[in-house]
This record gives sequence, structure tokens and C-alpha cells, in this order.
Amino acid sequence: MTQQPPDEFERRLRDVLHSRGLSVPVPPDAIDRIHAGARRRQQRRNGASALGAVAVIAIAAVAIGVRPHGHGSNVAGSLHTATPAPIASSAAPSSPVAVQTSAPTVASSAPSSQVPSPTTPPAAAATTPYPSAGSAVPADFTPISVTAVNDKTYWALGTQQCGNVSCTAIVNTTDGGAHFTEVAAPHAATISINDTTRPVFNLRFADSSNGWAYGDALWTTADGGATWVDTSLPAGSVKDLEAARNPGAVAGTAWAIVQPVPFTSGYQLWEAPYATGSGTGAWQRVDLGADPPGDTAPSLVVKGPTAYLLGADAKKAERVYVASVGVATTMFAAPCIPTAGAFSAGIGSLWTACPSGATVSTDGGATWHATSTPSQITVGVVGGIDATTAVVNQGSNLVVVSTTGKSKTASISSKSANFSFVGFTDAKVGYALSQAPNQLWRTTDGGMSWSAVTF
Amino acid sequence: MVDEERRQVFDEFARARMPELLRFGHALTGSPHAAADLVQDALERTMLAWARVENQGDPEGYVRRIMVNRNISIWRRHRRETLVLDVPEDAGRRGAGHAEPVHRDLALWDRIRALPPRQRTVIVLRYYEDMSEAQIAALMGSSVGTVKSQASRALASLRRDAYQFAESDGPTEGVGR
Repeated sequence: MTQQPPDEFERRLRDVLHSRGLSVPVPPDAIDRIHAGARRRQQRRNGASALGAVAVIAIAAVAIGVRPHGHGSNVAGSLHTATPAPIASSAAPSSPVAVQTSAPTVASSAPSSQVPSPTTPPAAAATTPYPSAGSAVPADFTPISVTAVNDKTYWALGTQQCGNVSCTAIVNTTDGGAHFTEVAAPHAATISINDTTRPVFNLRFADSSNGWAYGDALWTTADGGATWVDTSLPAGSVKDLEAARNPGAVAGTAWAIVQPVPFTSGYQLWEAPYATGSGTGAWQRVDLGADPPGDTAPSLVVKGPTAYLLGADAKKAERVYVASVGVATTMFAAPCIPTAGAFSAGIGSLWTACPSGATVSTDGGATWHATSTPSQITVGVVGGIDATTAVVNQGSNLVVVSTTGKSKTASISSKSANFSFVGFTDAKVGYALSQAPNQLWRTTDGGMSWSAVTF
Repeated sequence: MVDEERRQVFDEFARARMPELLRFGHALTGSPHAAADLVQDALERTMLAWARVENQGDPEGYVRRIMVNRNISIWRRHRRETLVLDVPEDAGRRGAGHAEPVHRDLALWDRIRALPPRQRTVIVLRYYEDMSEAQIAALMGSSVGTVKSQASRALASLRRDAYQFAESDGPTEGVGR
């Protein structure tokens, strides 16, 4: 179709389509009608209608805190940072959900003492029933965010039907997805319901105990998701959050990209210490120097004590901001401004997607090199594996690209996946999220084959 | 971001992009009325997911993906739809002096509208939106190979019909006068 110059018929086809006068007048009340229609949809979702639930088209521009392990020397040598510690699957509490003693199914399921009342309680908390921890995962669980701490242990944030209501749910596995258990979820919606709703739509776990659910609110758990606290800090919308620590350390740092309210001076980077057993400490804003990120949300990845932001400053200059705990921020010229979700950490490498294809840095963002990405691939998401290999999307396919050889199309059963995220926890195990329909995929062979995760 | 602020951003986005989305919807559906419904449906869904959509950074791409996929699924439910029987909105406008081209154009336009939705979508995206195969594949959530085969089938069908119409132009010449 594109390989040959258009013939006479194709030119005619183009002319016919362009001559049709396809403009359609915009109804004067179009915006009001959209608002009204959206309200009706929301009411149906909330169970006000007996028509049943409508499909929730839920997406999340997510990037799990990629914690490559097993190749620590590579990372430390080339990125001047240490690799975060792998969390052995056995480190996960055998039954983190056992702490949850809530009664099943309803809003009161979480004892009030476990969830301190925030200054402005999320509206959904009073009206939305939440699934109980420890219960079986329902067949309609729909993932919108995934976070993994090793090759076997991961969590998914999503939605499920609670009667006629779509409610927030979190599931956890410690055996690579063979079995899932429902853990408690923050009492927050995953969609805006009204002016006081502060939804969450992303989930990160740093280890088997410390986790964060974020969006317009920031909820924190220190017990593997048994209980959640609305910390409401930092003030504003949390656009991205990642956490990592040095190998063997009991403490690490969580980093957050924050869109402050009111949004007057660009995006901010915040950091907070966390430690196994003591939860998350106080959040503090990080000074990103004279040219901090402007009005486009930067992408964030972390390695050990260092955070890497890929974004543009107020003058639209592309930059890689490198912020390390206790060390002055440095900046490098970025290869391009990637799309959301197209910044990823691999073993000893940072990856991003540029118009020319997947691009890698092995020196902490100082210099970047293109891969042999096939020209027909328009890279939207990228998941770095190591310094030479990454997985990118190509329509409903995933493709393994390399700096050293030809690309290989992965085996995946999807016929219609739109991938919003790809990431790896080590050289073999990785995760991908697709939307419309929302689905979680997993690979155990370095991205060559992917299987849909069944909850 | 508070909801009111977010709603204003959504409204500005919808207001600015609606003419183009309606035009795209018209090309996809072949009908201005169906286009209006499709755009409204897609924007309602987008509004409900606006926090995430905005966060992801390509709201128009999100809306277009919904439109493409919804149009295909709606068509599946209304498989009996007889698009070819619709009278094109501007039929006859070009009138005298363009009888043969108008007839040929109308016939080809009707053939495009009668294509199965996936094939029609590929043709519209390729020849109206001037998108590459990779871009079409990404938008439709399918592989480049699938896009190629859909396009190939659609073009073969349209060429065959065009040939038949060219042969039968004589008796029906004059439509549009």
C-alpha cells in the first residue's frame, strides 16, 4: 500500500474522499451534551440505573519501578549508581492480607482506625463498597496498573464490579501469576465522580510492604496493602511515582512527579525516604536547578538512590534531569521528548522512544544511541531489558529491538492490543499493559513470547 | 488538579478538536449524523477518563482510537445497516457539466461506504488521513500485516466495482443532474 507510488485508481480514491465535503457543523450545545452524557454514564456506573454497568475504558500511563537485579555490576559500572535490591519472593509476607480483618464487601469493610480520615474525605469512600481483602479475585477484574518487585511477586490495581458499582481493587501474586489474592484497596475511585473525588489510577510497590497508590491523591501502605492511608502529600496530582534502593539496604527513596495545584510554575520532583517496617517518611521537594521542567509532565525512572527525569524545561529544551539523594542535580541534553510511558530503565541502561526509534543510554543519560529499530515501527512505548535490548510496541505486536542485531517480533496472542506500558524486572521477566481492552501480559523469556495474565 | 480545572481543560480540548473529530467521524461512518453520535460517544467516554487520558499525553489519539473501535463494534451490532442505500448528502450538487465524474465519484463513494468497517477504516485512514501503515496499525490496535491485507482486500473490491461501473456508465449516465 505504501511501498508503491499510488496508481490512477488510488489517486481517484484520494480525490473522491477529499472532495466529499466531510465537514460537519458543530452543534452549539455540543459541550453541554457531552457533559450531560458523561453524567448519565457515570450514574449508570454508580448503579443509579438498572441498565447495568458500562464498560470502563480505563487506561493508565504507567511505568512500574523497574528493578533490574542479578546484574548489579553492570548497572553500577555504567550508570554510576547501584542497582536496587532484589526482593526475594520469600520476603513477601506469607499472608499480608491476613491483617485485614474487615467484614466482607461493603464500605465499612475497613475499620476506621485503619484508614485515618483525610482532611477532605474522598467522596467515593462514603458511597462505594470495596472488596474485602483475601477474597477470590472476580472474573471481571480489569487491570489498569501493574507493579512488580521481582520475577514472581507483583500487584495489579484495577476495577471490578461490586454489585452495580465499579470499584477499585488490588490483587497480588507471589508465584508469578499462578494464583492471585485480593488485598485491600485505597478507598478512592479510579475515575472522577464529582468535584471532591480524588481518584487513584497507578500503583507502585517498592518491596513487599511499602507501596503507593496515586493519581489526584496519594495513598500509602506500609503493610503490603493490608491498610492504606491517604497522605495527601505532596500537594497536587502525582503524575508518576517510582521507588528503589541500593542492594541490601533496608531503606530507599520514593520519588514523585507532582503537578502542583494551582499549576503555575511547572512540574515538580518530590522525594521521601521509606524503610521496611517503618513506612514512608516526609515528602520533600527536590531542587531541579535553574531550568526545572515546564508545562509537560516529565517521565520518571529510578535506579538505586538516583532518579532520572526526561522532560522539557519552560523554554521547551529537552533535558535529562538526574537527581540523586543528597547530591546536586545534573542535567544532560535529551535525545528527544518521548511520549508518555516511553522512558524505561534496563539493566545498566536507560531507554526512550524517539521518532527515529528506540534509543539507549548506558552512561546515565549523558549520551544516547539509536537501535536498529525497523523504519516501519512508530515506537510508542519501550521497555528496556539491558544495554543492548529492549521491547517496543508495533501496533498490536511487541518487537524486541537491539543495538547489535535485527529486531524480532514477539509472539503474542493479542489481535487488538494497544500497549501503554512495557517493563522488565530482570533480563527474562517483563510485564506489558494494553488498553481497550485492558489486559496484563507477562513474559518469562526476555520478551520473545507474551501470555495474557488471567486473574 | 481539581475537577473544575480539569473540566475546563477538557472543554477547551473538545471545543478545539471537535470540527476535526467530526470530519474524521464522517469519513469513518459515511454519515454526518452517525459522525455526531460517534464523536459525542467518544468524548463522553474520554471526559470520564480525562485524568488518565491527559496524563498519558495524547488525548486526541485516545479519542480517535475510541472512535475507530466503537465504529467497528457499533457496525457489528447493526450489521443489517444499508449504507449504500443512503443518499449522499451532496448528491447532485455539482450538477450539469460534471455528470460522468459525479456519477463515478458517487458510485465510488458509495462503494467505500459499503465496505466492511475495518476495510473502510483502513481506506479512510490511508487515503483521507494520509496515515502510514504503522500509524493505522497503532490506531486500530492491529498489526501492520493485518492493515496491509485489509487494504489489499478493500482496494481489490473497490477496483472491481469501479471496473463494473465504468462498463455500465452508459445506461446510468445522468445521475446528479
